[in-house]
Amino acid sequence: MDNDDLLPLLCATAQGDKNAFSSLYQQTSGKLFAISLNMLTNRAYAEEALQDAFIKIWHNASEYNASKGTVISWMISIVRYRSLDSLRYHKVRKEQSLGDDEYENESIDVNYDEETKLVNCIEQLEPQQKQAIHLAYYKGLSHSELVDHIETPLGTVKSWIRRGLMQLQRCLTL
Amino acid sequence: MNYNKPELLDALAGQYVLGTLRGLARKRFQRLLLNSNQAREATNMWEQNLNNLASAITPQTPRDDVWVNILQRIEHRPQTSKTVIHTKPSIWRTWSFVATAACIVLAFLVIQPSTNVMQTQQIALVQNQDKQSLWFIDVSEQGLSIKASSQLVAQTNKDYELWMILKGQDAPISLGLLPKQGSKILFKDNRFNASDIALLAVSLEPIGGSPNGSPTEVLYTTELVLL
Repeated sequence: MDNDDLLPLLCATAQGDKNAFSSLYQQTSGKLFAISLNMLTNRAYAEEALQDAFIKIWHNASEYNASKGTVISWMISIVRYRSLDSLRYHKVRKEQSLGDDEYENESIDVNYDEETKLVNCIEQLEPQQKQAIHLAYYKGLSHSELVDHIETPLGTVKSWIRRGLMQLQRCLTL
Repeated sequence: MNYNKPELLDALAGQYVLGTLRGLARKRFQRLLLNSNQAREATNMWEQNLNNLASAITPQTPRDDVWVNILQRIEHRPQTSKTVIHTKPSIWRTWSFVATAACIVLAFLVIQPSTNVMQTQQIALVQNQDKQSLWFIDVSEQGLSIKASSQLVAQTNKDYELWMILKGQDAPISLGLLPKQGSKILFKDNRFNASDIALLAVSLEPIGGSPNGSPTEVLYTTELVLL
């Protein structure tokens, strides 16, 4: 998804152009839906989050500017924050099963299709730090859920995340 | 907590974007984002970097219904802002398409009965973009008496939450859930002081109200009218 393609569509969306908004949806909804589905592991909830995210994109398109990163990054943030809210609202993992067995698998197998600086920096992390950050980002796991998932004390999990992020930041600013 | 330390802001912003900042700490950081350029810059930086991780996710196609629902929702509510892309100084101004005070008073006087048991101090009228009245808000010493209009077509799987935005502050304060039909009295928050209130806002929320203490999707704003 090229920013040069998405930016004109978002600008037109900000002017109320529904055709541009439709094109923006066609180009990005598959990626955004997959991001939400990874976190929520339930198609209905993920579709609800996707719908809410696009309503927000429609209403807030005029608030985007280049300081917020690429268009797709801005849109990913919107769908991830909405999915995190939904996770908390449904108290998904602890109190009820969402029932979509095909999405229940919480193992993580990451294959990047782009060689970005972040990917290079992530690959330099300790394996545990990388695993904890991956699970938090892709699955939306909280500290306490990470404790259950990787069977490691809370203090250690927090430390992996904190140190992992610090190391990432150092690497990214080099 | 000293939010002036750049290292601390960076660490909090990283955890906020990653999603591991939860509960009260997340709410505090969301409030900080409304007021702090440094916090917003740190968050933008982490979003730009961490969202590269999404390149590893294979797209999946949502059902066609999703787009149909989105279209239905935007066609019922035009955008609140159609200006060129730029940053706004206050998020609330974006949503300000407030009816004029005269219009509010006129509509209120037409609809309200002439006798009122509670001593009304202020009133407000929430309207949609088509100027249809949705809720009448009658503020007295005792509380906020809210009446849902018969023109209100409420979503059954959502709730509507009322917020006040105090002058000079961007962080909204919840006043409670609005009735989807009939009337309801809301408790008057002890910070509720008409002269301090810049705007009232109505947001669309999951059933039960905002999950995180902030409005999920602001639909309407209006002003209080002092009588």
